[in-house]
Amino acid sequence: MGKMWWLFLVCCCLITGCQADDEELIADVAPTPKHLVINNGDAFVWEQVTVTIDGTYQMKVPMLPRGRSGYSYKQFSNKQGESYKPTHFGPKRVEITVMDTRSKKTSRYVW
Amino acid sequence: MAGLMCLSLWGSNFTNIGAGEYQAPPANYRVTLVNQSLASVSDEWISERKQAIWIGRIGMLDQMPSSIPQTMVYPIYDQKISEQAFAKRYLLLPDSVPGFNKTAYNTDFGDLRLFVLNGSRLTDQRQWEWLEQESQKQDKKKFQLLFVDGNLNASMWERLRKMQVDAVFNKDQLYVQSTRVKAVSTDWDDRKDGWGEWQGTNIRSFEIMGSEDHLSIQAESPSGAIMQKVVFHPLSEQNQKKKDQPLITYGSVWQYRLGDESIPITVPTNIDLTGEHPITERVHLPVSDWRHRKFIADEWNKGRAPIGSKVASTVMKWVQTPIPAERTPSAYFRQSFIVTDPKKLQGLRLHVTFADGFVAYLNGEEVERDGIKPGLTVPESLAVANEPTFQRDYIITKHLNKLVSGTNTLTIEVHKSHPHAKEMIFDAAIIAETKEK
Repeated sequence: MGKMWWLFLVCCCLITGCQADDEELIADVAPTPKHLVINNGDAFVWEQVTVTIDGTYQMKVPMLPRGRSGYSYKQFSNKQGESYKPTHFGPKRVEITVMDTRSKKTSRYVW
Repeated sequence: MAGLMCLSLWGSNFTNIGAGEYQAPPANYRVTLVNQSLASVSDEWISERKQAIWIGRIGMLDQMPSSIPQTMVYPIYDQKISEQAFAKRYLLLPDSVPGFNKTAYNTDFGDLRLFVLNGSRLTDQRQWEWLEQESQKQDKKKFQLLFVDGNLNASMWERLRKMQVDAVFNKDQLYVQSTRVKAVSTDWDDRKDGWGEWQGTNIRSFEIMGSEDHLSIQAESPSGAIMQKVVFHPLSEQNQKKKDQPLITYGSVWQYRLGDESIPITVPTNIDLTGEHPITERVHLPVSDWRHRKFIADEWNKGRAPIGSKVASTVMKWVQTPIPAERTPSAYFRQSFIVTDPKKLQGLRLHVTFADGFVAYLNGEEVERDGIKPGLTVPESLAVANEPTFQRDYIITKHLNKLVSGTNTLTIEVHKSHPHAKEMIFDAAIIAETKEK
């Protein structure tokens, strides 16, 4: 019974810990051989945008307008300054984070 | 990182100043289009319109005060009763279109020609053929106004434009031909087909007032407040023939470069970046912005238009200056031209060949866009997928106030619909209209 109780507690902690305070962006991502097409489906222009490919290669732009935009992979680089070079399968994970400058909240989208 | 962004948008109003200040001569004639029940209007309101003629949908006219003689009342058929009953009730109306039971007719009043259509039979060609014939029967030029209760499609709007109908009234909506308007008092949706559209809510009446060759239309609320006022160019000005003065011709040499994050773009603080609201204030960009009139673009390439990606098997074979458009979603173009005296210009037209979308700026302020979402655009923005568009015309007369004496600059950004799309093409011309001497 004790073990079950602890297991229950651990599960509760994990579940609550996984709940992010972040807002979710309305977005879509479509990799192409040389570009990453990002669709901002929100009703507002994203500001202070960071797009990360495979957890390593980042691109930061001050604004990303509504609708579709196509960013060259050359604009994504790692800490060593190396540009992202897509493999045959392309990016495995794309994460977009946007800072709401007024509420100081982060909004996120993960592909 | 130099400013990454660009502005956008759609300034959707005519010369938005001046309508309130414009002093038209006293009205010699007046037409009141009744849009709401007149059950609660004062006797004074009625007596102000003693000399007016009245027009309205049957449902509205049913409540007209008995003091108004029927000879001064013109009904718009709204299907509240049968066409046969309509013909019996309004015996004095002309039977203009055979088989329409007097539901489509016209009448002249002062310098006005009023057309009333049967909105439930808009697809019946007999009504349109009659309208086209009547609109041409004029000893002297008149303002032509059309009243209807129904839905007009794109081809109907085009026919009305060609017939030189000045304004169309449809319930709470007022449409006017953009080129005929001298000034409006409130925001306006300036459509791409040459018509300006305004929709109000809770409009009691449209007051159509004219004298000699002047005409104005104002929408009034139940309290008598003016919700919209449109002033038309005088007929005498409309009758003057206009002469085209090319400012930039097709096939000119342009400065150009491919779009990337290094292009110097400033985002103005006084515009709505989402593009949902029209630009109502003037936009002032710094000289460092690529759209500025005095921006130094010495390092940009130069080439004769059409500029684009040359694909032999397609219409792109006409490209004069090939560019490696497959490398980027966008390309930027600049061209300067001289205007001696902008005040002497009567109209302005932009003609653009493009694939897939573009945004055009005159001296740094947006004047037109097509094939691309409204709002902020960046070099990476993608257009809507389109077939290449050749020499499309845009009336940008409302932007005449953006011209200056001396050197002016037209700047255009062209965007593809996909980063790897092979087809990109661009050419443009800008034509001013002057009064013919």
